[in-house]
Amino acid sequence: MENLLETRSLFIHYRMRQGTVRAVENVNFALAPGEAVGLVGESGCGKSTLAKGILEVLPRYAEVRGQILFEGRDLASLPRTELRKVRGEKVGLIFQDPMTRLDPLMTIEDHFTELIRQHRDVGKDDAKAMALKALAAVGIPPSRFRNYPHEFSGGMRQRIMIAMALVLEPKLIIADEPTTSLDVIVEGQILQVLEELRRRYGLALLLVTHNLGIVAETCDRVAVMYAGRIVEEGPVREIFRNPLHPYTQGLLHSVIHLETKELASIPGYPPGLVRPPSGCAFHPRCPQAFDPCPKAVPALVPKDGRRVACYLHHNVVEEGAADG
Amino acid sequence: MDNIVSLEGLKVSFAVQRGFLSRLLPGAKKFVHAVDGVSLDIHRGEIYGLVGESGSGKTTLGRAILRLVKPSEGKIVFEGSDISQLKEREIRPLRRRMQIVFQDPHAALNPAMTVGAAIAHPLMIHHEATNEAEARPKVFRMMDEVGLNPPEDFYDKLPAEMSGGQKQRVVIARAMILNPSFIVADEPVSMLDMSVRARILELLLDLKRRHNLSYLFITHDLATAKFLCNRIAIMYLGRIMEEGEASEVYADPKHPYTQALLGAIPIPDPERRTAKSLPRGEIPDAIRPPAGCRFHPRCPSVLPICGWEGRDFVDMLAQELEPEPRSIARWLGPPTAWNVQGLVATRYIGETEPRFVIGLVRSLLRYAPTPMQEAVADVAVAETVEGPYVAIRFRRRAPLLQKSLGHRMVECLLY
Amino acid sequence: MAGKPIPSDVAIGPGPAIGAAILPPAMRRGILGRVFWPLIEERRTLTGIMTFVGLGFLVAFVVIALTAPLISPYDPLAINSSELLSAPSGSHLMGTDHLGRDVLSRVFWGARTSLLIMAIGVLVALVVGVPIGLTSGYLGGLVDRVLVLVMDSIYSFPGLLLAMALAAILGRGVVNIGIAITVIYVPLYFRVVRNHVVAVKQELFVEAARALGARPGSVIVRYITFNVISSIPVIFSISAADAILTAAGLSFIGLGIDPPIPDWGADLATAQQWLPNDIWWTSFFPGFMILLLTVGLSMLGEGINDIVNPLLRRTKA
Repeated sequence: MENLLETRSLFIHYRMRQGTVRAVENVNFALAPGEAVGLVGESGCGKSTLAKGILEVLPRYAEVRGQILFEGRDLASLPRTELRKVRGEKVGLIFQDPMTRLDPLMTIEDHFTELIRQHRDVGKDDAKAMALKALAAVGIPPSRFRNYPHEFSGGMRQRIMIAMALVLEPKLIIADEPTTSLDVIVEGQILQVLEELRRRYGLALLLVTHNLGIVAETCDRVAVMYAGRIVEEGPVREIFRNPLHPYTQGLLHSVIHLETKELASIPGYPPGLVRPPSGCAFHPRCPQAFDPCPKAVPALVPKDGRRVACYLHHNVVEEGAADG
Repeated sequence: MDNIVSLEGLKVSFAVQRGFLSRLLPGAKKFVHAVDGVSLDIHRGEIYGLVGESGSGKTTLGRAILRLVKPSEGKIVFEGSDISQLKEREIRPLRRRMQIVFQDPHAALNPAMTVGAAIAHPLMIHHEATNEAEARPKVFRMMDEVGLNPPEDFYDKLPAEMSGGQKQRVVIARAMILNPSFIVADEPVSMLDMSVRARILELLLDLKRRHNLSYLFITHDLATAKFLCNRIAIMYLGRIMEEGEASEVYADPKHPYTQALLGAIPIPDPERRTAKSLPRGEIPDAIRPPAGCRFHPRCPSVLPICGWEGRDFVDMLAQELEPEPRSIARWLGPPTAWNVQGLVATRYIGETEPRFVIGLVRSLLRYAPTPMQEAVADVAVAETVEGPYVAIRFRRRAPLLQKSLGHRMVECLLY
Repeated sequence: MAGKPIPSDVAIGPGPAIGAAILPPAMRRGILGRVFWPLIEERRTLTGIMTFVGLGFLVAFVVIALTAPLISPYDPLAINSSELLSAPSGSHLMGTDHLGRDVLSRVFWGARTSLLIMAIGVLVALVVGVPIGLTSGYLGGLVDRVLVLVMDSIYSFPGLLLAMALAAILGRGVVNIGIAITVIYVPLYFRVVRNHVVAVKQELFVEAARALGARPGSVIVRYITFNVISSIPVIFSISAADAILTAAGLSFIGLGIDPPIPDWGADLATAQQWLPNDIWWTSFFPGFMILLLTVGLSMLGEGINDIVNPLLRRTKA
């Protein structure tokens, strides 16, 4: 089965005054239809950039190299109109803070009408029917169709965002920290809605988050990012049960949950992306770092049912890995 | 047991900002009852956890204890003295004894002040040093203690040059330098990366041990509260629903809201995926909180006596009108046609046959949760000056009291 | 400080850098750190170049004004009836006016007048507008509402009209014009500072200051002032540019300086009657100087604004 989404040697760099920010470095990653993949990492690891980069919703000073394939077609080679179609219809986006994405001067009806009619040639009534159907799926009653964004609570706004992402029946949803600003009960409700919709429509989901708990509950596979690279990637069960990369291990240990007996953390701080450490970017903080680690970037190589980029588990150097 | 802080019936309400015109027109001012009658004691030397979602009032409560907001009613006793009615000027000297660590380390530091200046500032405010040079040794000691080592390197840095964890250490140092006895920690790690949180929490524990501090630890993260706190209180819409020893509350949560919160926490273990039963809806706004037990509209274990009133019927009617309106509901709607006054909900019925209407209401009630149906005292049609009205009257609710179950306090009629 | 182990999160790694420049501590605070140093950092960008050009104009103008007595080839008041309205030449680089006075010297000396007016007009506005803005913003309430109303009323008057009215009342003379212009710009300083204060007041670190026990005065000075100070150079440049034009305008109408004193606006006014005779130099050079200075100040103001504001955004990590 062909992959729904695939990136090949993807690089995303930002040219800034202080230097080049290497937000995404050589990411090779795939997502199958109907699959839920979690993209985890801490602040500054590049996960948000990767998610946004897939749909090219990046600022103008971003440089993108490599390929992004959607349904087998290279997005970079598509004309703008085709790209817009993919962005609006095949892929739905959900962002962290719904309030910044919704125009406070437009009613929900306006939002939907505009969105639908940008992509489909339908009349106002048909558009309304589509919108109401999507809203019903997320539990927003039709009586609120004419309300303004500020008249809804945070959780409801996020549901509206989900409905907007779904209304054109996409194949993939990319959600960037969709529940981070929500309380735990509402978060649970939103995740339930997403799960229900995924099952009903066979949607694929790319969930970007720092919350390992929701990844464990929602995703089939997980990719752990550090300093712009994927350091470990594979089935959720495998990785949570037996994390191979020291960073994944550290991250899992540092999560505080109900059975935490003692606190654990990873020494140091996530690195700046302008001048990341040489070789494996994690080596300054790694308790198991040894000789080869600072010398060259380890490649992401299959091992034990997942892929891992660590010299503890293989000695393959990344191709063309010239540091600096 | 020595209590460092005691609250009795504390209420904090804010007036809702109204537009210019509505301020000119007459009409009741609306108030947000952020804290609506809280009584609790914090023992000296303990870490008291205050857990709740946003809108629960926990942040306001923390600030009220420190008198950063003015209480509307009730008593705040700090180290034996009643500080509830003191003027700002009288409270200032007390600020040496009670301090706060904020949630957002990026916003809590003045971007124009260096680290050294920021930490030294409290010393100068309270006249323990006259200038920065004099304060320097103390500041260095404090920076060393919170882990900003070597102090010389950090002293002249501006907040913009530091990471989140480092900034939070500065905030802690600034709060600690006057050697307070009580600290309100308002979500101190929720904006930090996972791998950094543990270190800051360890620092807080370390400081507590060394200086014999007492903490009010405010958070929405139950897991952190469980790990850190001696006792915890669960707050919902301005009131405390449950309070007790942390380990006991987690092992055996009594209040349905506590149970819901615990059930909702995502567990980072894919082998343990369970179907969650989450309460419906979201936390309502604090301007007109539900009657009786505030959680009753969402509670999975609600009883007929928990506080059902006219408003709940109309809300239920509104829900039944969506997404596919039931014909019964359509007959009785729209929700705006109903008047609500406490336990009674009424609607003008015009020419419609009274018995038909009563029948409709009773049928609709069958779609409501059973406890609500049982809470209805009667449904009748009355002739008024303006014509016939159908009235649904609810039974009076049971008074909601705090029950003590051993060392636990629960405010719930299930007990 | 021996004994205590350095917690690993502090020792390892520089942490995410947000464009940190290596500055000596003293320079990093206040205006120097927020405005001048970033300016130097930006020197190669288009914005930076524009700002430096503007700054260059301003500096050149000040230098000319201050050294006018030394660099002027002739006495600007010296009437020379043998060389009336002569075109620019070797002996008179900018020609002479209708009284035979050297235009170049008048231009140089005119800078002094403009500098004086601009200085009075704008600096006094700064000294009056900024403190009122700070206080009004911080105190809020009725005081603030009244002041905003008053200031907005003054502001809504067309500047030149207001200046004209005041100048007519006060009479002629450099100081009077200076005062007339001051009044126009006070509301601008007031407004910008006050709005900025209201925004900064909501910040968490201001609440933190209160929690520490700081008194309102101390809070205003240490916490608020330094954070609003960055908007002032911008207003300064832009209002200075405007002040030049207003002063020139007043002089042009005849409400400004007394005739013999060299003043660009006044000279421009008298020069216009000679234009039909193809006498271009008596109006061109004073006009051009007004233009250069105004443009320079505007570029400076815009440049500083561009540099300071993104910095403001960035420092709020």
